[in-house]
Amino acid sequence: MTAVLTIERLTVDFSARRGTAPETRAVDALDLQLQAGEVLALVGESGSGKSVTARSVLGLLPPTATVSGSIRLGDQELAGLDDGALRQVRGARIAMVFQDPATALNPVESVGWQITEALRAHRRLSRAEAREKVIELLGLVGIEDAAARRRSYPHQFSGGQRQRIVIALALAGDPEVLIADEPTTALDVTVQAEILDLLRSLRAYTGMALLLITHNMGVVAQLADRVAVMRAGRLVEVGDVRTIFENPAEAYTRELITAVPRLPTGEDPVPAQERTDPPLAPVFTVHDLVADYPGRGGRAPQRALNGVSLSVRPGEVLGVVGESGSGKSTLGRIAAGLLRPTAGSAALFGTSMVGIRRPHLRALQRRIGVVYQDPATSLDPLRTVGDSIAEPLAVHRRGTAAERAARVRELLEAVALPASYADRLPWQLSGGQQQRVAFARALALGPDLLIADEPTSALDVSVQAGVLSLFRSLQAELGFACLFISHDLAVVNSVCDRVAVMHAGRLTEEGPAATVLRNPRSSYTRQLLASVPEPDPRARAGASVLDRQGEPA
Amino acid sequence: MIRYLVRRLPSLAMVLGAASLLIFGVIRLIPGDPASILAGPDAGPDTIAAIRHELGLDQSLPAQYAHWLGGVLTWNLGRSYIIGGDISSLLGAGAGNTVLLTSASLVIAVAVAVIAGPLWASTRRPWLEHLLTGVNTLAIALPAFVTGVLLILLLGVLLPVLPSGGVPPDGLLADPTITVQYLLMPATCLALPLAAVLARYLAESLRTEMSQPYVATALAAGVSRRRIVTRHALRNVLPTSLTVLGLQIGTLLGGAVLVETVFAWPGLGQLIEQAIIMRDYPVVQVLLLLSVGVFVVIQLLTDVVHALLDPRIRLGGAR
Amino acid sequence: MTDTTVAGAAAVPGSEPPSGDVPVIAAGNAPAFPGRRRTPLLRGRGLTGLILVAAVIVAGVAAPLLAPYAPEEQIRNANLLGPSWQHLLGTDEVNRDVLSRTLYGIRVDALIVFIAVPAGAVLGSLAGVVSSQFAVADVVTQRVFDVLLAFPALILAIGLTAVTGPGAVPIGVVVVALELPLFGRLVRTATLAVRELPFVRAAEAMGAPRSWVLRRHVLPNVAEPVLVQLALSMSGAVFIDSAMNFIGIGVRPPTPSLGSVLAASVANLHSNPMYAVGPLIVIAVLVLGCQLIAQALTADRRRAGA
Repeated sequence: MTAVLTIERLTVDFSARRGTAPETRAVDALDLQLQAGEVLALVGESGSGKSVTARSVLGLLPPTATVSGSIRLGDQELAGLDDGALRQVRGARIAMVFQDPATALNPVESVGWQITEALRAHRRLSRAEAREKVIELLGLVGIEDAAARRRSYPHQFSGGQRQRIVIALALAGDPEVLIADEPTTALDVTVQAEILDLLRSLRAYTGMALLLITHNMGVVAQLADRVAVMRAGRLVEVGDVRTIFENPAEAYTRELITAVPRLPTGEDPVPAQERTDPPLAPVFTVHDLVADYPGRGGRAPQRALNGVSLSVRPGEVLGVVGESGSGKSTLGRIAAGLLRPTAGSAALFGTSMVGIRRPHLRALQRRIGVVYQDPATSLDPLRTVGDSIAEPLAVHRRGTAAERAARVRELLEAVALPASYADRLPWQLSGGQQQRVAFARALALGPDLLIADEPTSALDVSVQAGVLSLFRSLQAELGFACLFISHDLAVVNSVCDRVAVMHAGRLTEEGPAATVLRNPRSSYTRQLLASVPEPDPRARAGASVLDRQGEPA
Repeated sequence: MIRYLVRRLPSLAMVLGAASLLIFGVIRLIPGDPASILAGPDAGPDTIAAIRHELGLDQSLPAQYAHWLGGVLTWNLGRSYIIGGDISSLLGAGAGNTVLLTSASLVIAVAVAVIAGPLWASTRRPWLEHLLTGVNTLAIALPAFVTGVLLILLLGVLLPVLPSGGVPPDGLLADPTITVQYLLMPATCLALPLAAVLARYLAESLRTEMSQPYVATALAAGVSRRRIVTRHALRNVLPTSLTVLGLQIGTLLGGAVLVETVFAWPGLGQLIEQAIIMRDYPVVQVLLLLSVGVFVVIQLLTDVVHALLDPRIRLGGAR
Repeated sequence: MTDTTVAGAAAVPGSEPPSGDVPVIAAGNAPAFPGRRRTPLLRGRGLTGLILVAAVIVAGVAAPLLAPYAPEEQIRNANLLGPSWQHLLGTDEVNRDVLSRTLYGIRVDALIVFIAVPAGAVLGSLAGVVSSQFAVADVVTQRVFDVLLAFPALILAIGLTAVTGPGAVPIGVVVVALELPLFGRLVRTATLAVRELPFVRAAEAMGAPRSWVLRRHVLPNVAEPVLVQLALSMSGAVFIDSAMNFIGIGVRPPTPSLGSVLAASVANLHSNPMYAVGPLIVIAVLVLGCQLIAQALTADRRRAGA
């Protein structure tokens, strides 16, 4: 084994403005080697410096960054090269794939043109040669009918196809090293499985080394040969993937791996039969629900839900899972009274929400709480944390100022935050703390139903683990029912009593969590479950579901 | 695409219709007899009678409006009783000068902006960035008539190298070099604020564009930074920049009034200024409607070109 | 004037409504909190702008103290004199002191800029809020704005003064008419954008009435872009105001205004080149000051939003 890429004592500092003294250290004396033909996963949480490391290899950091140390490609030193010299390396020897395929391609140029730009950056090519090469590359990454599709624009492709095109563009210069920065993070889980398959087969086909930057331990377990763990700019440990997962040397690595929520496996004890509670009246129920979003600018309305029937019983956590466009968030908006049903029925606490008057709806809304995905925008940036938490009390005119302040302290304590945080502004809190505040606000009036829409999706795994365990204990203590909307089957498995699987606006399957996630009835649920990359290298898919079904990768 | 145009047309017609109603109605709001107002204070009773007959002032208001609008649409603009002469020939005399002046400024402005904007966005030299920021802020901060006066002071009076006003004595088409000498100061002066706004918009949107992920993709593939600015990113900001340019045409039309006054450039701007001061309302009416029409149609055109340049609009179905 | 539209539109937060439910994962951007934000108007560009604007206002307010002569006083044997110690900027064609006229001229312009623009801003913002709340009002106001915006700024000024005749009040009316659609559009789009944000949805889901959401969340969060636009609009108003005075449809003579002094100077530059300098400097300083304030506010927003 020879190292293709050797990073020694890499340090990256950022200053607030160009030309001023460095203030924050993003990467601190990092040593790393990428061997020829291997897949090395660089894992870590937000702010660990993994993306900065990747970008510094190609000199793609903003001008506020100061880089020191050594980055060697073979025996060529890359650190300190100017833009012109780095250009000979970019694409030709080291290529890079970025996170979000929706924005990684130029929206106003055809994909063929963009790949041609990448080709011509390094070689003189005739028009015909370029066309041929573009078609070859698009074919290689599995775009069908490449000869015609090369003329299409990015918005005419699906997310997964776009990421394939981004990969084709990266392969245009025939690089020895491919750096993939969170290549599947923005994708739905079934699409993620396809892209992982593609990366796997490309690596076998081209023999290039892959530096995979990711926070997803499942992806790591499925793809990596070796793993390097980073934290706060430093390398925690590096080792063989089996060793890292099964016998890590460092406590932090162990924490990181145990924080990952898992799907039930055969080894878990099968839980006792579902609680046979007396049949209580459901807190929220919909029947044959149809919901449309009004079309904007003269366009036809969009159907988000199409004939959905389900109910949430008191004290139960119902997980609603599905991919983007499944309508799961729309269901949450219906439950919160933010969207009126187009047809069918919806009832909250036994009162029909069809044609309900505002005051009646407000009375129902007093008994619900909502938590949304993005902690950064969930709280009004101009209001203090205390103000935000007390807002439901103020809206429904509960208590005096002093009583509200007391309640805020109580709620902060309940979500494990110091009472002094009441005077802070949202930007002074971390993402996990902001989300705890959002939970405190949702619980302020002691709701009977909590609607949580992807409450942990924007959080790091270790933070997510903390918020999920907080959620479980609060739910056990307060006994509220919950509509828990998530794309993450493992998260749903860890908190939900029952699960409803949605697909393209319809309910595909519903039942006790253990049953649905262990023995799914519908083929869609099976596909969904099979697509989840298992955070266990021993369970690595030799071939994925899709391969087994005989589809080309 | 055609559907897009068709959707825009009714609102265009509505805006023009409402504007023409306003312009028509405004003159009727002036207290006093419209015929004597239109004729001006010095007109005799027979002139007033002639106007009353010509404009059909004995008819109902809607009929008068229809009469006036019909006249405008058939380029049958009537007479000016104060400045004197046929309004359409008054317009004809000034139109050439104004079109030459505004189109020359438009060319200068676009040329300057297209060179300065990308340079400003892509430079990594602090001194150049500061210089461009300073010049730009000044150019935006100085109204066209202020720069006009300054230019005359410098190049016409203190260091007389250019004629400080007027048009070439032998006509615009006689000798191009002389025409350019006369045109240079007013056109630059009219172009300056437009160029500054456009360059700033281009630079700012290019800078935003350069932080887009697709730029990182292209950079990582080895495409040069310069090519990304001038080819990849510029292509993205072009459609919206055109819209900005369309909006700025309004500044250009208003600026023409000032610049033509400062440089004694006998165009439509000067005509409207003269008409306002002399209260020649028929001329004012026509010129107002004309400038609104030009402005609105240019905005529609830029919108259409915007749609043509953006495949997400052209091909529809952005997911 | 129209450049303000551009900057205003760019100042709207998150103009794309969040759509779909693809999980957004914040990768690699740990909250790097700068110190508590200080107001951008007390440092750097903002402070410079504030000082420039304040200096002009003080000069206008203190004109009776600073000006060596009365603005309309005709001085014997002082026709179109060049600059001297008696007359720093010389005298004009009817024997008046140019410096005094310039200082007094500031008053009219400052009044219009600091009264008409805020009035237009308040009215426009109100229209924007109303149109963002009610569909019918929205259609009506948008169409009215369409028509108002179809007139190039100075052309609208000419049209309006055609009816009213020249004067300070018509200038004010013109400025208000120009600012109305700018602020209306700005507030409307900003309001609609803020309303899509999760914290507003959370308030709606807890049963907060519309007025509550508006008062507590939307308006405070819309205030910042409005402030930026206000600074830009003030510089635009200096333009319009002095341009109107320049072409003779502003305040009636002999009352001085910056634009009219400048206009009168053009014909007399050969005799007294300093004639034009005073109003030139004041106009440039005022516009520059407002622009700098707007730039500082915008830069601050961008940094805070990043």
